[in-house]
Amino acid sequence: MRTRFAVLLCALLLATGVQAAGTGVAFVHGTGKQTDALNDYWKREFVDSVRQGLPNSSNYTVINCDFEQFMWTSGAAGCLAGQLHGFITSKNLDDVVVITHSNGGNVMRWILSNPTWDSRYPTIINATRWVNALAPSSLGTPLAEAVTQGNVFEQSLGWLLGYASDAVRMQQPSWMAYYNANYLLGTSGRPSLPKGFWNVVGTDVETAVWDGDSYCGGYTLNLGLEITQAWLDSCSDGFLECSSQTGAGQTWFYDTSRMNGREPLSHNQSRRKCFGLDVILRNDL
Amino acid sequence: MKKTLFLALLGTTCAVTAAEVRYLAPTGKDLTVEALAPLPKRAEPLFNEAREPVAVSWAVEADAVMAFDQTPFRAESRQYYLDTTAGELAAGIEIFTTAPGALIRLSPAAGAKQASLDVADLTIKAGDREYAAAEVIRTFADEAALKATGASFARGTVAFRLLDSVGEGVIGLRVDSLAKAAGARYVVNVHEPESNLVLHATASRDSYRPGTPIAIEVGFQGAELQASDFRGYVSAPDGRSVGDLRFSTGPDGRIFGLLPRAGAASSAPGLWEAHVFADGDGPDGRVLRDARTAFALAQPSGRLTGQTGELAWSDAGLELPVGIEAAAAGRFEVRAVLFGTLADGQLVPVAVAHAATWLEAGTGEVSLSISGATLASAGAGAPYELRHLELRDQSRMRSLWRQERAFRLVP
Repeated sequence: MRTRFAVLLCALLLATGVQAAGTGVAFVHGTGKQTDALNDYWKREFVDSVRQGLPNSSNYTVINCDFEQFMWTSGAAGCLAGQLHGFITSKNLDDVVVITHSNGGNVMRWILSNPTWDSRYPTIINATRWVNALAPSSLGTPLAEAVTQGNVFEQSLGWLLGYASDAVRMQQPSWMAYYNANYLLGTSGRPSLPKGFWNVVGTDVETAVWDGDSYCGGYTLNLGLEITQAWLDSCSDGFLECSSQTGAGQTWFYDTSRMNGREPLSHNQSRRKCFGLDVILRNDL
Repeated sequence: MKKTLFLALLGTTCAVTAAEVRYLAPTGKDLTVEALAPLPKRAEPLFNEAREPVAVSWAVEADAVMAFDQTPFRAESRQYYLDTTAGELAAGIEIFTTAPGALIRLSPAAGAKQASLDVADLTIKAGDREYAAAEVIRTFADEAALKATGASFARGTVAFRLLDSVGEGVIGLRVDSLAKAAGARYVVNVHEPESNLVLHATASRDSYRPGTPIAIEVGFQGAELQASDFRGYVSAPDGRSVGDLRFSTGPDGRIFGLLPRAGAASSAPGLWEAHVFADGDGPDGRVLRDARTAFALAQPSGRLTGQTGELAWSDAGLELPVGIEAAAAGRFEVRAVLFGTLADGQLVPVAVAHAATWLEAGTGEVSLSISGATLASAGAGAPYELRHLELRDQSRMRSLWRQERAFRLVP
């Protein structure tokens, strides 16, 4: 369903500079500072497969920003806004499907929830058809809390375990609860987002050595996820609980209901060409 | 459902119809500011210095849920942390478990030299027997495997999960290979996913003002712990501890940790945290639990004045300038939900409106706009109410004002 952008204010039309129709797709990575997300985060085969669903397969962009920062900063949402706005205006697009992974969903949801933060945001929001949020970190994850826990009881300056970036601190469940209640839309009891936010939910991690499916997305990556799953509910992708992945917007589908062979998608597999995910996203364009 | 975002040009309205605007007094449930104090003179980061005004609105369904639940987050914990050293680990430490299948994580403290640990380095003692770890663990993840999860574990961290057959109670853990690094600090995290003993911690609010008391309610599922079994402290966004929580039991039996007076706000971005530690007697022995929960603490940098400019109302839409007092220059945003009246008198949501602009210190206005098309397409009309009104300082990332019912608009 196409959503038209329209302004009606005392017969004054708001000139946006977006006049020609065009469909595009944008890939928004998760936590981390990316400079080559196409090859490092998503893998080219995945992006190339998905974009074949476009009328013009060159109308795609792969975002590279610093999502180690808090979502509202110029390096995170500001960077995302700049690249999306440039993509939309340079190609005259008015129908963009934004595909996010993990914390990328939070940064995109920041833009959707705070349209007055930046004059570029309304253009982005109006050009967005919907967001396909792959394993979004909408309610955070207990793992973020686990890696930022300090020592037991000290009056002096607490020290931190690990390399807890601002983005990791932000994804602690109690932090995301605050931001969801005060700055983000789309969670239960809050106003809905201005555009659809459709969740693809990963429900399990399979690490059987004899099962070739475990190797899609990298076997070593999956083994670590099986440990981290112990911190999480029984329904999780090894990094995010299902409840977090469905915490905002609406659920499009759970992995086993649509993946080839009813395979689950671990947190790494949900950003890779595994079990037909790319085909589903391609057909959605 | 179609969602059309209208971008309004402030100040461009045609023939207007004056209407009455009544300010509705805040209630005890609202977050308000009576008077603004000068902000600290020290420079603080501004996250948004954009000068362009932006106002948007979009229609919402009449049956849209608009609860704006501000129920504070309830933290739950089945885990705890122990401070130790490499020397103590080499000699052997005791871990207290309350259920089978504990997950144990060893992490060198920041700055400590990281030793590369392998499962072969570990010895587990359960009851009177010692086991090579490989005999009694279900899964072992080394530093590389944990790092690859993207969960930012510290360098040198390893984690393993005990087989259920090891049981529960006091578990011995020895790491012989750490003997040479005796002084290095380590943290042991014990997480018990199968335990029924759960520590709860809930802040009384999700936002506090400097100088106000911070109260954290604690509870313990599965064991009867007393106030004396709890300790805790509050930390600022920069990690600095700002004071201890004093725990006591109220007349209703609920246990609260109190910091009588929150300190000065921090200019560091992020949230404050209350850290709670429980050490008491469970049904089958000692039980340890750590939990923490986050909240905001900020000095208000602006407030609603309760005044408005002239309401512009015509077929083109409505525009309401909302009066703001700013303690310092910044980009301020007002957002609200417009409720309209149905034929039976019921008020239902019609549209969401957001507007932001740069204000200098002193009084100013931020104008909310809703298009005539949105108003005309709604099944509900005048009189309207602006509800769930919020004022934010976008420059300083502060939520300043939340008022459930703010203005009534009567033609």
